[in-house]
Amino acid sequence: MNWLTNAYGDGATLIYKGWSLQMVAGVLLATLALLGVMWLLQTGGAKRWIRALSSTMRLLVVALIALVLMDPVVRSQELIPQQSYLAHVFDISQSMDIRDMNDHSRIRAATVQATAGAEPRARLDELYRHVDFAFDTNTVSMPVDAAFAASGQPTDLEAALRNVQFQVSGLPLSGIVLYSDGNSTVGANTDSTLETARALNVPVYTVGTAPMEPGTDFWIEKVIHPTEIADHVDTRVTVLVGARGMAGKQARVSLLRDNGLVEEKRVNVPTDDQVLSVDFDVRPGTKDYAVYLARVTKAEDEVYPWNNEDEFFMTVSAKERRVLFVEGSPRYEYRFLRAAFDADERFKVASIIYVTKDGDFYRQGIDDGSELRQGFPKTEEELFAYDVVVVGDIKASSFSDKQLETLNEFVRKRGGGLLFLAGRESFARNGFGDTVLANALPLQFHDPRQSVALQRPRTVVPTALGRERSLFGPYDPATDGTPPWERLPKMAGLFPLYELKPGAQVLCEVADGDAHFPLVAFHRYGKGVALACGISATWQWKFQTPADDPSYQAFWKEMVLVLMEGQQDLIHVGVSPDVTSVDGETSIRGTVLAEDFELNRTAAVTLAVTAPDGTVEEITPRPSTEEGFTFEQSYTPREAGIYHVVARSIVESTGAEIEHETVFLATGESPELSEIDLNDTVLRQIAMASGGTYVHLSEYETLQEKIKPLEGSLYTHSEESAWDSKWLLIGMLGLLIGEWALRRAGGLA
Amino acid sequence: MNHVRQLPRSRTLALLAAASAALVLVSGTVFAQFQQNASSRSQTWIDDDPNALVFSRFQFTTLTSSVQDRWDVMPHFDDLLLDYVRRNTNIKVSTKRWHERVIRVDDFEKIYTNPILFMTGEGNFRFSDKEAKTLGEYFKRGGFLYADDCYADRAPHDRFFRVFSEEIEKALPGHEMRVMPYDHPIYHCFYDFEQGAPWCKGVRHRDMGLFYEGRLVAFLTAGDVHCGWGNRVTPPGLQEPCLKMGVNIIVYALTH
Repeated sequence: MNWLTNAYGDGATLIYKGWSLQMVAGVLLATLALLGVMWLLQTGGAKRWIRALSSTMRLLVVALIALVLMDPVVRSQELIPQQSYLAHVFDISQSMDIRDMNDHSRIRAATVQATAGAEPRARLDELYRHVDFAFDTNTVSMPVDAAFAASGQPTDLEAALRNVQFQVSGLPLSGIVLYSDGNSTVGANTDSTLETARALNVPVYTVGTAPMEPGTDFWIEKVIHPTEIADHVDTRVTVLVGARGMAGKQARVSLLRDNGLVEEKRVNVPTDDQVLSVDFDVRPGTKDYAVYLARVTKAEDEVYPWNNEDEFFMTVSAKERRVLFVEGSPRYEYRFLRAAFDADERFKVASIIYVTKDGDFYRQGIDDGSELRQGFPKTEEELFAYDVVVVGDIKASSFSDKQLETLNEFVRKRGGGLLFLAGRESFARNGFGDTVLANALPLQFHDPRQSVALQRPRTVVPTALGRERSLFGPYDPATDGTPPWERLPKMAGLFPLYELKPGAQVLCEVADGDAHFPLVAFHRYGKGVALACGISATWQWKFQTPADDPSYQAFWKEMVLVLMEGQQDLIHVGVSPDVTSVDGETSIRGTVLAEDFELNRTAAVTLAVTAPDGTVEEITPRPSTEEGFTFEQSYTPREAGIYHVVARSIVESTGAEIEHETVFLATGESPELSEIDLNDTVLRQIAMASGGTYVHLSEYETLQEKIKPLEGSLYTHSEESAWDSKWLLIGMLGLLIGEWALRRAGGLA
Repeated sequence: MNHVRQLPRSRTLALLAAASAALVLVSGTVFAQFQQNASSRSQTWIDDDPNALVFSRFQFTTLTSSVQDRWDVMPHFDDLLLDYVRRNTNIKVSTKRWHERVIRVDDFEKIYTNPILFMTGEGNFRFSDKEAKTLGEYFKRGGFLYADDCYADRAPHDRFFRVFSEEIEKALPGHEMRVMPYDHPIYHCFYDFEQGAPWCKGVRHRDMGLFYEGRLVAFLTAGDVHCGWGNRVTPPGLQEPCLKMGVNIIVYALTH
């Protein structure tokens, strides 16, 4: 149809608003058939060519009529520039100062192409009016010809989008063009950022302003270490070192404490782009807090040397936790669980194992011959010397009423931890459920299914709380592959906890058909914590996974830590994250309990924060609305080092002062220089969520054709009917007259 | 002409009645005993409990088929030991019979379902590299292996003892078998053995142990203790001590 288009001018297109092409084709075919019939029925002696020409001319008339019925319309558009806006938003945070864009800094590379007046951006500015912004944690409007420079501040992508939306509200906006490396180091998580992008109702066109292929680099990916260790005890610290472009080279990895070298190791980098695991064994000899630095020495040609260190700390405790393990008979679960505790020098485990039906027992791990000589403790004095009691698969009748009562008070009054293990004896009907110890347990025994294990082996999975507590060891979806619990074999001997008491928290569960049942749950009882484990044979995990798999050990360590946390005073304070950077924000949150151990939201609390230089800041925290907390306070450290936080309150009934202390570490590292890779994933997600697209800075010229202008803002359209053209009418008449004349001349009937 | 003496009809009937009564009495007694055994057996013979003791016979590969050296020598003696364990302790024992408990040395998956293995024979075996590696992993994960020298009629009569001592060290390179001290818990955890494991026959050697990170993972006796469980060709009075030593080994393996 180009000839028709050309007849109507440049940029015009021909569209058909009436009959569809299929209908027209159908009519033409029918006409052709009809003409064929008429051809055969024709009389007279006209020559063949006359008859053919006549039929063709009739067909053409029908075609022209069909064309009219298609209602052809010529649509033309006219460019009207400068009717809508584009907001150009530049990331000027600290990471944009990294010089890895052809020896330019990232912000320089972006502004060379994309600030007002730059050639690649000129075309965009012809079509759209523009407003320019710069952002880090704040967003400011930039005048024309302003010079952009990195600010040295962190990045807050979500705040930038919200601020820009606020500042351009009311303007006819065709889109926001966001120039960034995609790493937001302050503020909410990615989901929240995407939600903000979605709510903008304006497309965001993201431009990646960091190299697609970063340069050679060593970095500290993560340091895996316990948070609390015992003094003079060997503790394993694992440093994960990332390497890119370093294949065939050697990484020198050091662990330092107080600027003194603890140990250095050299590891070969076999292949490119991988994470190496380097283990160190440390033995802090002093109490209080041990601050360490993991470092990988800068390589000669390394482009990013500032992410080569990671600082962390561990709380050193002299207190050895005493565990009393009472077991009903020798069994696999006992030996593997005892070995797990024995492997951790923080625990001192004494055991009583009943070995005959007559009640003879065997003692293990005792300090001297007198400990547990009479069997399970009968007095509070003897039992309260322990921190945790583990009750294995043992009949309730193995205990006297007095012993059960003492055990109940061990949890309620002393604040001890009770670990209650599943088995045919411990979960038997008319067993512990009918004793005073039932008060302490987080489950009830009314359900008749409670005493029977599931028939088939099943998979055990952590709940959200279990994953948060790293129940099977640390797991980072971003860097780790298969979750640790998916590597574990299916388990036999599972006793689901069918009926939990209100307030019990579930750490892992099992599926039975469409239903999910808790398997491990705990609750607070008095001052202590009681945990029920419905997995009677966790030893299968240990025995059916490689010997160096830490999941089994991690599971039981976490169980005990849950029980230890129960030993909490009436006031408790914690800091999250407990390692932050100078000028980075951290949250101090805590709990005050009334004497009945219910949350006390009306108690007055003061916080005393002691900085590394010794200055003390007194703060009154605000009430917390988060579940499980009664007070909270944000805090921004201004210097590097260990900060001590003491929370104080008063017991209303007695006037006694209660307090709890914790610490956190502020490091001199900047997260801006730790996460240096282009995060095009986030940039693409922001674009997709808002209806925009993503381009890399190297493809900036293509951005213009990707931008969808605000409806009616860039072009106006006009339409002109083509069916009422006089030439069509002339054509039709001409054909009809010509055909009549031909028929007459040819003697056709 | 032979005459068959016929009893009077009344006496015949009386004899028949007495025989029937005796038959009923004996049957009832046997049946009742069977029921009692089944009942007491069910108390600590356990099905489907992953914590029930499965004392598995370890099947090794004999080097040559012409030598009479079987891994399954007197396997039902293992059941006798388990019966003794069940009667004298409160350990829950699996209902599986010996042939259901066998673990082949080259079954690299099934070996990790049984934390306690028992091995005996006359010594005509070797562990391949893969088998030795699997055994090493078995020990590291927490497994325990008891090995007993079954007396060989042909010299050397302690071939199993010698071969096992060498072969087992392939499982944990750098770890050597060493003489067991008499005060080790395996000799005192249930019964007391002041001079080590009982010796029934063969060459007298001290009991040996292989340790990994302080834990006894393999225990070797030289005196054919296993045949003592079945009272086979042992000096009188040794069956009970052999069974008791078996109890100690099991109790130790289940508690350490």
